[in-house]
Amino acid sequence: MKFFFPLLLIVILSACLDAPDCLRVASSYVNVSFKTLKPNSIKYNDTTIYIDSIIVRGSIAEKKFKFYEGVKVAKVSVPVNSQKNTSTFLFYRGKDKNKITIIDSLEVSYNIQKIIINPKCPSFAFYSNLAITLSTFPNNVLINSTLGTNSPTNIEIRF
Amino acid sequence: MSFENSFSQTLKQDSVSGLSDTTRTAITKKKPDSLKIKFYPRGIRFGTDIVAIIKSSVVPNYYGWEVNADIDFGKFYFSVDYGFGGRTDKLALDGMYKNQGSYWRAGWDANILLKDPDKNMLYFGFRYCRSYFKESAFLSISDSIYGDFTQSLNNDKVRARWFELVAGLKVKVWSHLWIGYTCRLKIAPKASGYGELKSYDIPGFGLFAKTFYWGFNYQIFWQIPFPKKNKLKPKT
Repeated sequence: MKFFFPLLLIVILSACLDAPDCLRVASSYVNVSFKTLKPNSIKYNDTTIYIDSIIVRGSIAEKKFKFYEGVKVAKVSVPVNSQKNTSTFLFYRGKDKNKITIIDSLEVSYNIQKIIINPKCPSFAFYSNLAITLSTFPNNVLINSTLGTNSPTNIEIRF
Repeated sequence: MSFENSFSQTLKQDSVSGLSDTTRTAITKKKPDSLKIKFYPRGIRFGTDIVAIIKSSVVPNYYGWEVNADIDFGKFYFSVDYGFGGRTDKLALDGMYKNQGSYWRAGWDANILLKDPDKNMLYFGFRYCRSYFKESAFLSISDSIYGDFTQSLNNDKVRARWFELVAGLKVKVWSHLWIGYTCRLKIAPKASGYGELKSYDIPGFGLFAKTFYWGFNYQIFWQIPFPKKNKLKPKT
């Protein structure tokens, strides 16, 4: 009983850490991984494809996503538009840089929630219920419908 | 006298007094219970929270008031609070947040100072709380890919509930005037009815992002005792 009041005081005062930190676990990027079927197996493995460029529709002057210009990658992260509930991405890809033959489009929809954590921090958007609304890739699977820093892959594109 | 004789003598005495063993045990265990307090309403106290009044005049972005009442049932007190409040916050990047709404709390307190002649209270209790409010935010969002933009978001009818564990003290200072304080540990907030803007601040609770919060009230009360029933019948 003699420890009850000190413990109660500690519990009450621990709530005095008033303003939450500006830490955020939400992300505004969709993580897309490229996979191929492993021979004689039902498992899909990472594969790399050559990306000439990715165009983000609706972005400022629809400029090319320079980071992915002329690279071979197994995974890309593409930014969603926080002013709309849909975003469209055009993938210019091929087997190597001399064979840019395919243009694929991927359109996703999502719910947006604006969150204020602390008046001193900028508000941020939390994206959930991600869905693939249009895709010209041969096969794509939604893995995780929430965009976050802890979600490694949202969409798998399988060849 | 042998043991057998002594035993038979005792039995005879009992049979003479006419009491069975069960009745005798019940009588010996029954003690005068001066601490047992009957459960009936003895009085009502009305009060207000001084912290809310002072905070409204000192803190520029906050306003609010709160009225309180409790009914004395002996050891236990039924307590009800009603409050109204709002705040305006300037957000980063020239944003703005506003909310306004009411809240109530209801619950029971248990007084542990039972022998105090003035009925001063050291109490613990719990509350069930609800809040009804509206909120709006003007957000200025910086986006290097899709471009900067501003957005105005409103939640017109938000409902929230939470629970509180309370502890406090109430002291009689003069006649029917009481003062006291209450410390509150607010837990398990839940809100519904908000849209694209997630609720930020719940009137009566605090920041929704926190799973538990604390509160402090310094209250002043006026007691109105209920008339006592006169159980003595007039002599004829």
